[in-house]
Order: sequence, then C-alpha cells, then structure tokens
Amino acid sequence: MKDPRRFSRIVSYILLAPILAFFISPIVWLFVTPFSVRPSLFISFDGFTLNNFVRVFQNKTAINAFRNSLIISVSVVVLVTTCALFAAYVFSRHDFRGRNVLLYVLVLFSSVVSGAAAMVPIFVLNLRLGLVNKELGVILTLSGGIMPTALFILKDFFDSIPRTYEEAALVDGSSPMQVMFRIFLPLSSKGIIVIAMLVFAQSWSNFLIPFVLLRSTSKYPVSVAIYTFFSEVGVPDIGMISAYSLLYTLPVIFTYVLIERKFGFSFYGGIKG
Amino acid sequence: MSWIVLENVTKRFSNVVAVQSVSLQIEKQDFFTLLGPSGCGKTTTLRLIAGLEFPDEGRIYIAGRDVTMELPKHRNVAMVFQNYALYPHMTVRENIAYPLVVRKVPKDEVREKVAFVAESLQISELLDRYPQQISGGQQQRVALARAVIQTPNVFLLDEPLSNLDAKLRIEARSFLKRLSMELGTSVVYVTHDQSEAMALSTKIAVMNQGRVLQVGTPREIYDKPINTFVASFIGNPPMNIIECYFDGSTCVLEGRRIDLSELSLVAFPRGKGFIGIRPENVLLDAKNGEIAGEVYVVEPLGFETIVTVKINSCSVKVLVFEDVPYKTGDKVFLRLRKDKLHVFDENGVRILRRDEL
Repeated sequence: MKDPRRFSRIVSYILLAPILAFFISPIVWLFVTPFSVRPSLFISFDGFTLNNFVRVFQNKTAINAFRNSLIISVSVVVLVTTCALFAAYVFSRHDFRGRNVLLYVLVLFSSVVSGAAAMVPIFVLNLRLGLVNKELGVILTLSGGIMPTALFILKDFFDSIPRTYEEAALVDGSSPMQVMFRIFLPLSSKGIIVIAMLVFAQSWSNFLIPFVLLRSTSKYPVSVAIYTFFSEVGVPDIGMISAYSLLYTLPVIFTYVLIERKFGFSFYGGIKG
Repeated sequence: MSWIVLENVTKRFSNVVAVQSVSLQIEKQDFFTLLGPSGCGKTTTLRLIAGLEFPDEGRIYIAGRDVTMELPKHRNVAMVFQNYALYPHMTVRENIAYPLVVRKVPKDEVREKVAFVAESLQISELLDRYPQQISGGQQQRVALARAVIQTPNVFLLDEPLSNLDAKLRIEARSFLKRLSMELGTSVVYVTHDQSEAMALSTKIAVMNQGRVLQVGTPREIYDKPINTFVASFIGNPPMNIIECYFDGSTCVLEGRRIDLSELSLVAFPRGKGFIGIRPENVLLDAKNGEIAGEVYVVEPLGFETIVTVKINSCSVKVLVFEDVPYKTGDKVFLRLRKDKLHVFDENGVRILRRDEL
C-alpha cells in the first residue's frame, strides 16, 4: 500500500462491488431462471430445460400479447416519429413568436400526461371518446405522452444541422417538399432513428396506460399480460414469468444491437449519442 | 430594362436594418461585385436576389420578370455558398446532378451533362467520391459545377474563395474569371476582399451599413471614390486619408501649407477637411520635399515595398517600387502627386474636379 492512488482505487472497488451486484443480479436472474428446471426467485441453476418457453408458447394470452404489443408500439412509433419530425422541423427552422415557451410548456405537460397523477382524467377522457378497451385509445394516449419529449430531442438534433444545405437545395431548384425528402431527411436520419428507438422502447415497456385503459385479456400487451401468470390463489408461476420476461426484453435489445451495428453510434438511455 | 434590377429594396431582421433602400441595375454581361466589410448587408442582398430572403420593401426583377416574392426555384438562379454546401450524403456525381434531377430532366441527358461539366471543370476523376473525401479546392469546383450545370439566369457567388488558402485563392480567382467569361450570363459576387473585387469585376458596388455607397467600374471606384470610406476600403495598402484644414485653396497639413489651387476643384472645404492620396502617388526623397517625416517601418514585399512614414501625429503609407535605401528612424521628405490628390469635405464626401462634372 505504498501508492495512495492504488489504495483509493481498491476502496472504490470495494464500495462499487455491492452496487454493481445489485444491478447485475436481476439481469443474471433473467438469463438463468428461464432455462432452469426448478425456477425460483434466487439465482440458482439446477438442470437445463426449455420447458418454460414451451409453456409460454402454448399460452394463448401470452402469444396474443406479443402481437398486441407490436401493434401498439409500431403504431406509436410511426405516429410519434412522423408528427415529431414535422413539428421539430418547424420548431427548428422557423422563428415564430412564443416558440420556446410553447416548447417548454409541451415538455412540462408530457410528464403530466403519461404520469400516474393524470390517470383518472385520462380514463374519463378515453371513456367519453369511447376509446376504453380499444388499442387506439392506448396508442393515442401513449403518443401524446411521448410526443413532446421526442419533439424536444429532435428539435435539438435538427438545430445542429446547418441550414445551408436546405438553402442550397432551394436555390438548386427544389420545391420545399423535395428539400425535406431529398436533403433534410437523409441528413437527419440518425436522429430520427434514435427517436424511433426511444419511442419504441418507451411504448413497448409502458405498463400503466394499457393496464388502465384495456379491459379484455385478449387485448393486453405483454407488459400487462405478464400479470395473468398467477395461479388462482395468487402464486406467481416463476418459470413462465421469467421466460416471458426474457422474450419481452429481446426485441428492445435486438433493435439496439441492429441499429448500433448499422449506424455505429451509442445510445445512452434515451439521450442522443 | 436591365437583366437584374433591385428597386429600393429594404430588409429588416427584427429591429436591425440589414439592407436599406438598395437600388441596383445589373446587366447580362456584368460580373457584378458587392463589396463591403462584414455585416454591411452584401450577403443579405445576394440572398434577396436568390430568394432565400424576401424584402420588406421594394421590388426585385430578374430577366424582366418581377420575382420579389417568388421561391428560388422559380427564379432560375444558381448559387455557390461560402462553405460550398455540398450535400454530404451524396457523391460528387449526385451533387452535380441534383439541380437537374429535381427538375426531372431525363436520366440520359443528366449523365451526359454531368460528364461534360465535370470534364470542363477537371473533376471527372472525383465523381464517385463523397464531398468529405476531397480537398477544399476540389469542393469549390464541385460547387461551381453544380451551379454551372443549371444554365441559370444569374450566378450568385457568396465569398467562394475565402475558404481556400492564399496560393490556391489566386489560382481559383483566375479560373473564376475565365469561367465567368464563358458562362455568358451575369454573375453577382459577394466579397469583403477588395483585391478580388478589383481583379474580377466589371462593376463593383461598395456597401456599408446596409447601403450602397457607390457603383462603378473598378477603375472608377479606384480613381474617383465617392467618400473617404470607399477610398480607404479600396486599394492595398488603402488610400492615405489625412485630416487637415483649408484656407481658401491652401491646405494646412501638420503645420505645412500646401497650395492646391492647380487642382481646379468645384469648391474647397471651409475649415476642416481631408486629403486623400494613394500610397503609389507619394514620392519619397531624402533631401527635399513638401512634408518632412520620419520612417516608422519598412515592409519589403518583393516587387514593391511599403514604407510607413510618421508626420507628427499621423502616418502615411508610401508604395515604392525601387530599392529602398531607408531604414526605421531616417528623416525623409514626402512629395504628393497633385494630379492624384483627392480632397474630401468635413463629412468625408469627395469634392469633384471641374473636369469631372
């Protein structure tokens, strides 16, 4: 212990180790338990089996839920990305009165819309609109919640793209639409993909809104359907839950890896890399 | 009617007036330069012609058509930006072809024209590269190619040489002049570099603070600057402007009286005024002359030498083309070539000679 720096490093490792273990153990559990013969709440592996997955695939609600989740998430991604794209373009390129105020008010409200505090009004609103127990209700509510954040991040990204490209394209004889589709979209594709991913991850994982708005089991997305894996007496079926959870996380991991490979940028928890 | 006409064009950005009541006439064969210091409104004027900005007042005509409120695509103009603005997601070929592609020109014709333009600008071997992969000088040629391929009514060039290094800039300047002669239509060129303006233009408009001060051929601007601003902006080194007092036709300069009656001016200023003389029109002499001074600094530039001479509180730059036997601290005498002397009144406005009326 002659080098004081080495000493402090060892101390920091000792302090970090339990924190690391705390965050890593659920992930280890997620990858170990589904393949275990006797799944439990502890990380214990006693014999390899795929039985848990077989049971998931035999469960109609579970498989249906994947389809439902996909419908909801893809719709939200398409809706939010398209709307945020056009809105962010205007926010970035046109200086109109009250632009910044509007932007910040929207971002402020977004946390209210998807937050738990607004659940009752959101339910009442959907009820009045006849959207309770319909996928459309979930899609619109989720979109409304995510939109301002997407808009905010996209606007920031668009601000970093020089205007000269668009101006050059205009003078080169393009119509405003051609500028958008031939110049601006290709230049901003990275940012748009990041936003689409962020929106996908958010809508895929959202539990509260579909849980409140959907009534029939056949319409549940994965995040809600997972709660049906309890026996009549309320005992969780850990084997199925763990296998199902693993399947549930795979699409998000998969999209991340795919996009990371293709575009080579890092994605830090929703903030553009 | 001239090929391009600006009529009392004014452009404001919130409270700042960028361009104030500018009127210009540009002929089809003109290489027209907007010259001025940064922030003088020259780029805004160019953007108004391009249609990237719309004027708050006034009208703009191109090729006899009122285009004041029209989009750029309806004006048929081509522009080269200061940073070239080559689309980074397209190859050089696609960049050059872009103006034709958006105009829905048939593919065969596009291919043919791109090949022809690339050939004439000597960038054929770069066609499959991306803009990030080629040098600044090459990027400039690509930007020019993208403009040339359109056969526009007017070429707008926004400081296209300022991103090149000094040696390349001189080369590109000659190339640009040659090219502009072959284009057969007017070029509007923006620069803050007076030597570029002098070298390239058939006409120069000197701007300052959103206003056009003077329009004329490079010779006119050089020989008959309308005021002290224009006089001191043109020329390298610029014209010496010296404050002095007038007593009839005699000018009192740092305690020396100089008789200017032979200038035959329309009128002489009363009291305070300025005289202006270009560095090449001041003669240095070791023994005798009108004004005594002291050599402050000597800057040899190869062919010519700039000698700065201090006369009490003011300094005068002298351009000498022979060997300079002087060094810092030497006493010298200056003689001004009277026929090349300019007189400005108290407000800096040049006073005409009788023969200029």
